[in-house]
Amino acid sequence: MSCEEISEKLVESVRKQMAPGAALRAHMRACPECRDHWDEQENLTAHLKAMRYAAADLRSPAASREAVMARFAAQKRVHTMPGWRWALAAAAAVIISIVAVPDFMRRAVTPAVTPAASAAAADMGEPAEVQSDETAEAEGFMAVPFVPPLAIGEMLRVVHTELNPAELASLGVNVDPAWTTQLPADLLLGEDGMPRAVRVSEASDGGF
Amino acid sequence: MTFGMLKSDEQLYQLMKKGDSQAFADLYERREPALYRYALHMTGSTAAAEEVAQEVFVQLMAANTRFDENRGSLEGWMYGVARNLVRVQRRKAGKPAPTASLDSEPVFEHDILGGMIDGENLTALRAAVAELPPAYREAVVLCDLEERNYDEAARLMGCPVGTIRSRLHRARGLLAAKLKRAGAPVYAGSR
Repeated sequence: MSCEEISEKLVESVRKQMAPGAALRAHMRACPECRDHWDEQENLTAHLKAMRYAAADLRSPAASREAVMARFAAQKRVHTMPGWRWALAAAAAVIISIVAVPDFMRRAVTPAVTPAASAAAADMGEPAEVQSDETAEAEGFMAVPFVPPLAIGEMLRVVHTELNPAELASLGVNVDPAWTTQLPADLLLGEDGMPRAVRVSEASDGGF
Repeated sequence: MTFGMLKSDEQLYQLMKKGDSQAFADLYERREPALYRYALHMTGSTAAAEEVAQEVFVQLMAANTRFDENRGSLEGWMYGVARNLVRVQRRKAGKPAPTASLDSEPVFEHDILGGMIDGENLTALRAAVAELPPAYREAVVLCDLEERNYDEAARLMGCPVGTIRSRLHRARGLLAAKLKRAGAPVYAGSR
């Protein structure tokens, strides 16, 4: 066997931490280069093993886990709010929209999509959507009534989702009662996961 | 171990989509550490690794997530997302390869091979891994640092098994040469 042919077997033996087979041993007895190659690969394996052990317990900090879990819980709240709460919110929507919309739209709406998310989305052909105070209202967002006010500097992010008419109504959207299917919508979520504004996506063919 | 650990990733995903927080937590516990380590080894940055690992799960919970069970495993999808994010991190850093050393050294809990291989040699190895071309580095990370077999690594990287094997062998050749140049002591001797 040539050195080239031996090389692959040699690396596999070392990786599996097996003793060299008879053919390999015979070759190495006569070939100092392959003996060196064996030693180098064994040395590399030991180093890689040390690197593996050193990183074995590494993971993201607990705060990162908590942030992800909180985000999931907030998203879940949006989708699973009890019916009576939706109805209550819908009843209040008319009043609040009159009072709160102008004030809300004056608030700063700053981007909150992480740089990685934004760039990755762009990388995958899905540009992450970021709203500014100048564009939020102009792009058809409506303020959601009865939500806690935004903190100064609080960031918002856009979430694309689907909502049924009752959910849309509770968010202050004027919905045809006969409409039953879910509609694509964009939500502006605060850092606490609560929706602050809603926009029915243009992809929707209407119903209201 | 929770009951969810007995379920497949895909089963947990289906439960998660219905709002099951425990299923999401189980999925996170199962997959996050390896995704974090993958991103750490690929970028050389703890901050970038944290951001990548977190963003994978944010994308997973997004209503418009593009994961399709019929087109592959959830784990494969997660690594695909992580790979894209790592690429973005590299682009953001403005260089084709990650930094040679970790931006902030993680705390290592283990007694590394009885102290046989010291920190200096590990740093040299990390630098050598960081300088590998990304495809070679990924093969080393998955096969030698995460102990994935060739089939698993090929599935996660979306390429044939033979490609993984040849990339790993070339990568190991480059690493061995770099370690030799760096003067790392040789501890081998089983032949």
